[in-house]
Amino acid sequence: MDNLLRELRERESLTQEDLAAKVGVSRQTIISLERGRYNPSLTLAYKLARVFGLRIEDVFLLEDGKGDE
Amino acid sequence: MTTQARFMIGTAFQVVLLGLGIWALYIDKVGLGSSLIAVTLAVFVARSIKTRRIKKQEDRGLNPYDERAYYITGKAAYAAISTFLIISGILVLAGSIFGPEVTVNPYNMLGIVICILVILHIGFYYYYNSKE
Repeated sequence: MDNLLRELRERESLTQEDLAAKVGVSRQTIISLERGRYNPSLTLAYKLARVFGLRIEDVFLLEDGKGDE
Repeated sequence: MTTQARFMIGTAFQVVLLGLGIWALYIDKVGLGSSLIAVTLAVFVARSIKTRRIKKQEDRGLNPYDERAYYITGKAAYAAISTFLIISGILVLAGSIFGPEVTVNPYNMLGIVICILVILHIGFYYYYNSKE
């Protein structure tokens, strides 16, 4: 699943650690999310979207046939 | 469970192991006693360093035990137990048919099984942690 986390985070001038602290996860989780290696739970996706004042679908992009693994 | 509570429970368990080690030395089981004491002390030092590191992260508002950590732990556990079952199954079958009859100390065998499972779990954890 693709996402716009890095772009949004940099737009808000947040470090990975700042964002991790805001949503209550480790910095490693933010790194994995930005690289598209880890798909977050619905709760975490909501929290991340809320940090940027957006909806989940504005942050995470599910392409057809992707994200099933 | 907080990091502090987790550390205290682990430490209590280690005190029991240390006591067993001393008891083993007292009843002249020098090999078991000295290795139990050495391993317990080494684990205590390693856990202290790890707990301090985790506490620092928690103080900065981070959560080292987040959903990704549990997800990776679950995958590593599944991979470890699957690998262990496959390898031990093959060994049991092959050994029963082709191997010599061997008598083993069940306590030693249980210790070896625990070590293998822990090593497999740690290996798979690092693998999935770098992959996910």
